[in-house]
Amino acid sequence: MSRRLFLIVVIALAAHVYAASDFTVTPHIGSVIGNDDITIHLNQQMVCAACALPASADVSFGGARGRNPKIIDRFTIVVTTPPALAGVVDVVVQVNGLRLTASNAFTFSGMGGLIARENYEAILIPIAVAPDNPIPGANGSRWITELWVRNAATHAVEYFYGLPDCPSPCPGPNTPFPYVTPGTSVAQPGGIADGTLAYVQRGSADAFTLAMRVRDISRSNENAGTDIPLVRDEDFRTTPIELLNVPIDSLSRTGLRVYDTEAKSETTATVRIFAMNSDAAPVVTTTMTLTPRDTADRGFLRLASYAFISDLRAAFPQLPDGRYRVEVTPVKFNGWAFASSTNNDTQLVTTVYPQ
Amino acid sequence: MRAFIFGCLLSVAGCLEAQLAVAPIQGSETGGDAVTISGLSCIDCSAAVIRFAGTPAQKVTAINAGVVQAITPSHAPGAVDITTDDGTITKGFTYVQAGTFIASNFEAVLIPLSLGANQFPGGYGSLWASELWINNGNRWTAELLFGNPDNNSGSSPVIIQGQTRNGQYIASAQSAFGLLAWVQKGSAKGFTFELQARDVSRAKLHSGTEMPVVHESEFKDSIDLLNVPIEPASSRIALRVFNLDSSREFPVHVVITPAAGGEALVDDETLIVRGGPGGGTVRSYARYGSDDDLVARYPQLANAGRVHITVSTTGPEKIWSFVAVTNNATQLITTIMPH
Repeated sequence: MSRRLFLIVVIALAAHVYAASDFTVTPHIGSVIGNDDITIHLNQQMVCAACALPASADVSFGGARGRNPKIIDRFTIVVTTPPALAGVVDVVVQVNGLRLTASNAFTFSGMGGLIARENYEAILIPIAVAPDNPIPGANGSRWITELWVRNAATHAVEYFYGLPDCPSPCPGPNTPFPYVTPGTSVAQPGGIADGTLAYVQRGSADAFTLAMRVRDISRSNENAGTDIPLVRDEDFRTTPIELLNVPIDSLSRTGLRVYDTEAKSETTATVRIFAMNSDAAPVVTTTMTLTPRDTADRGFLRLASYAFISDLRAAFPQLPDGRYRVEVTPVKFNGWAFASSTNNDTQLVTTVYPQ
Repeated sequence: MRAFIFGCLLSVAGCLEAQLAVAPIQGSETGGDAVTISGLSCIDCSAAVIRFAGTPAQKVTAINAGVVQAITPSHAPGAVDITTDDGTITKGFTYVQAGTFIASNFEAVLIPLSLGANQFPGGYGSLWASELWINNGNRWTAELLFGNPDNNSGSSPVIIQGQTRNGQYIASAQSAFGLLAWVQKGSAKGFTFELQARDVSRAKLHSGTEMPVVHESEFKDSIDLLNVPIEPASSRIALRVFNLDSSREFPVHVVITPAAGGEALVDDETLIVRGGPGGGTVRSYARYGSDDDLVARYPQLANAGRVHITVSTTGPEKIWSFVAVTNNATQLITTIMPH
């Protein structure tokens, strides 16, 4: 190939690269409230493989500048979206002397509009929230469960249970999904069932704190209650979940709760119970079946599948009083499990969960 | 190819290949260390094959274009070659004896309360014990170290896959608060810890309180503790703050506001996080500060009811914090921690 022809081919190829989008945007949908972390993958490297990465990049969405652009590698930039009105916008990247464009590459949206599941972190609320109407239990106990959330970020952060329906009349996509205003703590209302999945904007999830406590108000002068874990999706597991030092004895009833946080179909979990400090074979092997209670809407599930053995000792009377390792193996699902031991006389609760 | 040619046009250096590099360059003979290998030609490196002395890595995870993280297999001490799809790094990794503490290879896990095998008398006839259990759920053998001078009390730092171990062998004679365990970064996610505090004198009334076990990633510059009950007639409230790696003692900023809303009841920077006891090559204890009785320190809280507590740093330090509410009559503990 002659030198001239080679140059023509190269220029034509380069022009073709620029005619199409210069990069992909993932996810390509974000909230009108902003603060979603978006990954930009360039079609061509911004520097050579052996070169140092540029110190900075600029990314704009429909002319509004993104926050905290981070160059991850020679192809990849992560940036936080600005707030914007609903609509489709061009994305422009300026890095290392290049100006790269993806036309109509990103959609800002809100209630009743598009939403990207990837922008949200799931949080499992293991037990029902009942802050106002005490639930009667054994031995005169009256249980309440309180859930609080706090947004310590300097901006509003979307937080909701399942995918909220747009109220009627629907305010339209310029209205964000339910959110917590900056610097506020909010008590959550009742009606949140066992195994509910909450969703918080992933880009601000670190600034979001939750706290849940269950207590028997008939014995509030004896005990302030029990802290209940709230489980971020990075702690959901497909591998065996080990619950160590679980008390199973005649003084208390020990329950085992298992959650399938995907609930795509009926699934099972294999439960094996071992004596502590022993490599011997399991004392008990059983299976728990988890049946879906909900169907995901655009990837958002409101209720995890849930199975509950309310009293392990009653279910497996061959277990002598003692402490046990309870191993829960999800069979083809991503989930979580914990045990709770409630004293028969005092109704005091001890939780055991994987840490 | 098109992108490659375009890269060449952009820069003369655009056609240069990256050098293969590895970090860290040392790890345990046990295996289980996370090693980053960069300079690979792959853009999506999820199918990369990495071998140490010819043995495949336990696991390979694509990090970025040209970069993977490999979990080392076991091998006898000595330097070995690392083989990649793009060539070999000759003597690129050196295996060292198990139990050798290479700081960059380990992450700290905070055991906030540790009484070891001891039992301690408390108020109202209570007798306190703590129990720590550890399980290695990885598909490979890994190491768990405790700091000097407690060290491992003669126990092996090596925990084989699937093994469950009682942590009572840790003497913890120096402090009840802020014990550190060190696990290999490449294996940390596969470990499960379980910590309980129990008043053994009241074992018939209560099975104990689950205590948090805290990984490095959970330390932040600000911690929120929500819905904390202030009931001085029936209980005392202790605030405990930990730091893993500061080289200095430092104050934390404590703000306490009514849960129902309103002005801050406490806005104070007099709680100091100080150095933990012990020294040596492996740090034994976290830095630690506490208010053992919040109402005694801040009497204005006496009638506050429910409050939110925010603990934050004024410098670069990362902290973790929790509250323990202990009932005066029953000695039952409620922990309140960030989730």
